[in-house]
Amino acid sequence: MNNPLYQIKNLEFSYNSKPVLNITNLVLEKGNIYTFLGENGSGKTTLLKIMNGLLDSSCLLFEGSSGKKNIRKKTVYVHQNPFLLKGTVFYNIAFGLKMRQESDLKKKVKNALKIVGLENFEKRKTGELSGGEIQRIAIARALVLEPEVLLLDEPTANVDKKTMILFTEILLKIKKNTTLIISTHDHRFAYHICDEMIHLENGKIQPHQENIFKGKTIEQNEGFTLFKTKNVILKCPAIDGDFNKAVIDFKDVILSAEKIETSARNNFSGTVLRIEKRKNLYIIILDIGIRVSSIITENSLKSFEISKGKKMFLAFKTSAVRLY
Amino acid sequence: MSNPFIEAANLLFSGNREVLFIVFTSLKFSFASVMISSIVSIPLGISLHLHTFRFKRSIVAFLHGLMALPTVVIGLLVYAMISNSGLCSGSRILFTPLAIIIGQSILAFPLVTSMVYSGLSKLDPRFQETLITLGAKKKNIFSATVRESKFIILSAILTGFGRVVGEVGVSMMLGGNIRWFTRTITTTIALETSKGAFSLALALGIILMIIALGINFGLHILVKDE
Repeated sequence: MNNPLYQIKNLEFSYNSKPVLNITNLVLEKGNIYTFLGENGSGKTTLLKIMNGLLDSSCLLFEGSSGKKNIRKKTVYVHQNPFLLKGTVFYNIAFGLKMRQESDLKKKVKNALKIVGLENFEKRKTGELSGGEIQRIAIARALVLEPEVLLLDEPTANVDKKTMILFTEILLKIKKNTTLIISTHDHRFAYHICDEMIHLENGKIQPHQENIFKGKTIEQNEGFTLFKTKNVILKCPAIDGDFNKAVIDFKDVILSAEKIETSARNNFSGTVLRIEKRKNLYIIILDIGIRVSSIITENSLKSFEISKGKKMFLAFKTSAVRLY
Repeated sequence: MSNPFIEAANLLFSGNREVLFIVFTSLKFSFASVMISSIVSIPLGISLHLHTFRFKRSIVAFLHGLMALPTVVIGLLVYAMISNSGLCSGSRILFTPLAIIIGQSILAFPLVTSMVYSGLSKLDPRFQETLITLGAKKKNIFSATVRESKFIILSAILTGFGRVVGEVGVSMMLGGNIRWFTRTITTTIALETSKGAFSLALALGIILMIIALGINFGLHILVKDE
């Protein structure tokens, strides 16, 4: 079995004895887009810096090894407000290439600028760039190194809506060759771009509390939007736009032992795949063509006699679905 | 009785050989000493900024303290070293340009080091992280820091130059104020004033002021550009 990309165990990190991170277990695989969602001060930036080797921690394994050399070689971190070195755009983008003693600088810089949509910016002075352009140059400067992992700290924090759409396109484009780990407090962006979402609160990873389905909107019908996932079509609120994620809280998914008539427009049947205990509650994971989780009390678990493999019914309202 | 101001103006505009020699000597000594001290001060200031180690704060505090060291004390210490009864008695450099340059280098050293260090502390903290994440090694970080902070370094050198060009204690004690040899602007002003001959002192004073103002103006331009 291949090593996971990152493996973090029992990580505790403090600044001047003030604890900022406390992560019991976190495993990230190659090829995904991970988003760390959390408010300011939740530890996102610190975690990204540890994952880039900018901050020391012995609790992190990168590709199975704890050495910094590999991390420094294969990962690049982009600040929330990227810092560009004085001089030209070319100097900035070629800097990392020079450090790695690579050749063909002009061609590589040109390609990187093309990816971020800033062709012919090579000779521009960094002092003449707008905020959005600085962000894109910083991404190009990281991309030109062809890192295995790109760590982006709040990439959309200081950009307008148009630039944010452009960013999303760029990031989805580079996802093919690079694992992206993005911190953000912007829910819309986080859900839209992620393959997997990790919620951080006060330095701790919060357990999942919602179903995130990948798919696309296919049509609007009778006052709702149809969202097609891998095997199932969900009825969602009527909102204009193209969405690629549908999100439903565990608590909004109602389980029943028999099919019941409700006002909920989403009604499915499936079998119980797994039951997980979470404090005094239970997460029931059902297979309805896709995996859907619901959260119930111990009383409900007992009264419905829920067990692995049992056929169950579930329902949720259109309004319970959030589209991103 | 002639007016010393008119005589000073005459000296300034007539291209008097002695005035030119004194000014050139002063600039030469100051330039040499500030360059020599910069060879040590700049790398030291950058290293202090880039590295964290035990006693760093004490070293920085000590350097700040040395900035206030009176020039006559430096002159005295070097004199004690190089005089006939000193530790380096055989060097025979007392009352030579070299002695002045050594003294002035010592004078400029803590100032330039502290200026570089404190100037770099204002550098954006993301700068070093950006270099590291892009794969820079220690020597690359050092050279990139020099490039990024060239105005800080240049203004530290200019400040050091301003300090040594205007000092009198070191030049007088170690150079001996020998005419056509070690006589500088400040030692001449001191000598001429004590003799009651103000015209040469005034002329040199005006030149010294122009140099000081020029340095300040240069610093102002650098800060503005930053």
